[in-house]
Amino acid sequence: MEKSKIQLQRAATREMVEAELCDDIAEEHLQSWEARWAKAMDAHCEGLPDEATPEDSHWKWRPIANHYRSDPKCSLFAIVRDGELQGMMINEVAEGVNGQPLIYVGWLATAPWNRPEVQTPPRYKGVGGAMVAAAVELSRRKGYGGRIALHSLSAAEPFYLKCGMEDKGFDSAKGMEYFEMSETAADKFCPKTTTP
Amino acid sequence: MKLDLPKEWYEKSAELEGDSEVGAGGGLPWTKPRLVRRTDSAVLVTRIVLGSLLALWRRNQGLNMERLAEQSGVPFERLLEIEREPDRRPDAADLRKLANFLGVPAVSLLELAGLTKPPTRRLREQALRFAVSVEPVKALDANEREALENFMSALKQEATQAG
Repeated sequence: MEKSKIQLQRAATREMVEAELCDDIAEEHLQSWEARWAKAMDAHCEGLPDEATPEDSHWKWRPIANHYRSDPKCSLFAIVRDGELQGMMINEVAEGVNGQPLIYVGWLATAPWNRPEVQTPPRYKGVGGAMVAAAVELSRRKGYGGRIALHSLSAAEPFYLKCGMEDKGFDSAKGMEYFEMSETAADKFCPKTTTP
Repeated sequence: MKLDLPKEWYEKSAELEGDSEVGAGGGLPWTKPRLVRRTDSAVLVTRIVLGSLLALWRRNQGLNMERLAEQSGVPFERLLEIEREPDRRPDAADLRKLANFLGVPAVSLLELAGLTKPPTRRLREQALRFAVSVEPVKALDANEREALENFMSALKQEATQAG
């Protein structure tokens, strides 16, 4: 499993800290998800009416990750800091509304303690941005020019707009708003890195 | 996969994130999106006008919706949608039937409904003037007034208790 250094921001002090971006969601990550992430999420949701729980609170990452790990079209990522899982993402090779190949972000979530709606102040900021940068970089390496697409959870729509993604409209097939990032927007969002 | 981004980039990215949620997806395997366009506000306004035009004309003729449905050949549910649900895209064939029945050009109704080119500024202005002038200001009868007052005081009570 390849790992590379990235940075997150400690929300309370705004200090930048090192974290690891892993090119897999491995057993150790799933164990960490079960031991703390899923428990923290359950604790947060307890007693809340359904409509007030985070939209991804029912995602079962173990079967999801195990299902997509063997698919050659898919790439899995995890972000770890202090031995603790901070975020996960699963991407797939797909195509945009104009038929151009791109990287589709199929699943993306940050740990419950990194969310202002769960904990004030949250622990770390920057998981979302780092994951989007990883998706863009993957798209570049595959020759798709950094183009990516995703269906945003409704509470995250402002974030993806700020990243420079374009709101293409409401996808009636999935019941979610659909966004794409063009090659130009990708270059603006994160500069091309030189290391292969 | 290595990301070669400077510390400043991560700082900026954390600021960008602010207090926003960042989750996405929940929908693999990927399928081609079926995008629907949201009704833009200009069309919404002229559709509201289309609805009040139909309602007013109906009242002027003394026709209830059922009778209009029978006579125009437009199903009752769709008349209701045209009159009260500006979010819905009316059916062009229905509007042609109605135009015929009302004796107005079909193209005007289609324009108001946002089914052809956007309404001209002139039509939009006329439509708005119409909508504003037909806003009912008729005094309420005793029953209506009582119902209104009851509901408004219920709203106030609700807000006091919640706050």
